[in-house]
Amino acid sequence: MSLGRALSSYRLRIPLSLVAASALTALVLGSVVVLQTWRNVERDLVTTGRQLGDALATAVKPALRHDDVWRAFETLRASQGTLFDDRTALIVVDARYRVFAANKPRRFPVATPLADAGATYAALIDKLGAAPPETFSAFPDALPDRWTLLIPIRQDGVSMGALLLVYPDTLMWPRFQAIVGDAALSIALLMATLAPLGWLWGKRITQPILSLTRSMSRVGRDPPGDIRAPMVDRDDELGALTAQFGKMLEALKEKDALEARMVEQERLATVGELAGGVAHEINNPLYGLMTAVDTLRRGSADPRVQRSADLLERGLNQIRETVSALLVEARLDGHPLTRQDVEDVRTLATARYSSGVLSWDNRLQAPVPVPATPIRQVLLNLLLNALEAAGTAGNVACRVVFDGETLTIAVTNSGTAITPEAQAKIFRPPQETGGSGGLGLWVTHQIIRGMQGRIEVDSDESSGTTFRVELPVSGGQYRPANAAGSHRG
Amino acid sequence: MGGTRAAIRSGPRPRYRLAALVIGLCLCTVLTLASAWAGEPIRIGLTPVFLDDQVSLLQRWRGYLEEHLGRPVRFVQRTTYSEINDLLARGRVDAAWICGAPYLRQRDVVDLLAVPVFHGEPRYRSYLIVPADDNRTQGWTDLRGKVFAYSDPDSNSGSLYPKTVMRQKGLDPDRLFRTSFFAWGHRNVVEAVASGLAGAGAVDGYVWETLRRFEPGLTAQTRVVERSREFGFPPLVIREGVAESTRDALRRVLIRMGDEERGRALLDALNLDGFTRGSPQLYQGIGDMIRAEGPQ
Repeated sequence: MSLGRALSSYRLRIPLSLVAASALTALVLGSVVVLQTWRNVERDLVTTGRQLGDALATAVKPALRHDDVWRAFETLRASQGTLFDDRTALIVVDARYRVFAANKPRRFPVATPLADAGATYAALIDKLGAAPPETFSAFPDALPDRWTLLIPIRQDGVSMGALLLVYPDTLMWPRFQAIVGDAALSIALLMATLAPLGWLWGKRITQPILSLTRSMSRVGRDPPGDIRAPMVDRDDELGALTAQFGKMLEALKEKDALEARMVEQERLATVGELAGGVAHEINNPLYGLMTAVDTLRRGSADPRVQRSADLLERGLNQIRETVSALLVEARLDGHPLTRQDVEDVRTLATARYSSGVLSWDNRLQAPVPVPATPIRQVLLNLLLNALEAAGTAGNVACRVVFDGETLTIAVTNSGTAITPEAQAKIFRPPQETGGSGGLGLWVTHQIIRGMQGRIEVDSDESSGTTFRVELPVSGGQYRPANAAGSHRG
Repeated sequence: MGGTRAAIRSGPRPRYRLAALVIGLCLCTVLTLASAWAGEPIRIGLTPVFLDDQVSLLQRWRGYLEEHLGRPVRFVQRTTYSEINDLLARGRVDAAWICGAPYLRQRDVVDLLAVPVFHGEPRYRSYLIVPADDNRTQGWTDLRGKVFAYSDPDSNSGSLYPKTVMRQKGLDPDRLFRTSFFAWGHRNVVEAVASGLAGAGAVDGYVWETLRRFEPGLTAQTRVVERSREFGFPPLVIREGVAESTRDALRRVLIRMGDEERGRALLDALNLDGFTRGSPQLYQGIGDMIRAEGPQ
């Protein structure tokens, strides 16, 4: 990863920013210290210079009074100390600014006007006026790169002259450097402590951002259900952001589910249209058959003919309703489910598969307020599937129970168990399962779902395969629809 | 002594009286001996006619003199010649090492004690020096407008001689220079000239030579322009009224310093060959100049 790209990431930018911020703080702090130290040293030097000057002026005064150049020179020469080293000029002038003595006699010769020492000194004297000032004066820039302190030498209220203390700005350097050096060391130590802390803190801040970024970058690439919002238990913007991202993931999941349902509905609609066409084609001859059966019954009193006619009529009704049931949306006939409806399904199923053992347990007594046709179709589908799966030597058990709230249908067969993989896809449309499930179970599933019920499968080698349907039944929810109104075709 | 008083209080008893007498005699002997050693200290005044700032040399010399005299010696040091002259006149010092000129001026109160011998002679010269970087000055007439450093108003080499020679050359010492000052010591004159404080100075030739030997770095910053004729070396004088025995003892010790190792070492440190009896005739030349100068 190039440095530029690395720096464009918060992974480095925030820790580096914090380190930079502490460095900047140290820099600003250091600058303030430097500036303040410079001022302090400058002020200290003036104070110290004034003290030295006062002492020197006192010591030099008798020599000045007695015209004793040597004494004055000795005093000035002896006062070169560690602070005011040999770069400092000490000049005693008389009241007319003539050099009386100086510690640098070659630069400031005895008994010459101070103005002769150079134009800058001449300018300084012009500034000072005819006679030396009566009080201590400090001139930071009267002479280039030099400080000038003037200590008046007075006796009995009369000016005898002055002591000039001229030192270069650079005199402050050693002290300044020493103090600044100490400060720099302290700040460096502070930085050495703060920078790693800043780095670690920055890492701590960016860590959730990074995991959030990683999670977010998966959106659109991976299904929302596979993406987990990072765990950020924080009471700040980042926490809010993460929580919001979690909500967004939920919304995405819901949207995907909705889309999936819509796709299913569309397919269903297609199938429904197809089925509607088929139903129409079947219904036309069917009504003729039903009229014929009705005619047959009316025209004969033979009880066997009557029974056959009844069976035919119920069979034809079954066909009509089955065809209608293919139109999922259209509930053709809505008579409540009766015990006889369930028994009819048994008759229809066993007529086709007579072999094997069917254990039948129909516990319905009173009519159950659910549409009979779809339930009959569901039961028939399940039963036919079970009988087929059980084979000639297998057993099939069917149980239909209504407890006042829920209608439960359980159909068990002893055939080969369904693998978990197959179970997972068993209620999918046939084109998705590759034809393994068949249309029956998918239609069954759609019917049950349309009625807000549940269907589940439970399969293993020991107890066989059980399809269990649970339908919620509430008295007010189902009203028998007008058969004519819902008739399609 | 407490014992004696106790004996008196308790009445004279023969045994105690004898003991007291013995103790008393012993004490007297010890005190007499001690006072003979301690005695009255001989006070010797010193002036900057030599390098009087060599404290350790002075301590060793004092110890040497005390040992050979058998009595304490005190050196009395003053900055100016006149202070020592004053002490001599008032009898506050017994002897002193002074310049030839003050000796002549105080001949009524002091006598010659001994004269140092320098380069084989009891004589010395006055040097006219300028800073080493001044290579134009060739003589007195080149000094106009300079700052001049005298050593002491009472000094021959550092004041009397230069003023005399200037007058002889028709120069007015009070007008020749931009300014002049006394440096109160020959060493200071050398330092004043070396540092540039003074543009020229008159210095005791012996001091300059001694400095050249011990501190060549200092004299190298000066250049000798002119050496004067010879004068009598600044002598050690003794106040009239000091006991003859003291005078003889002191003179003998000084003159015999060269006879033994420690004395020779001291003389070497003083950069002298020795001390001699000397005679007032040595100071004839100085006397002439004093008379020419007129009464002060």
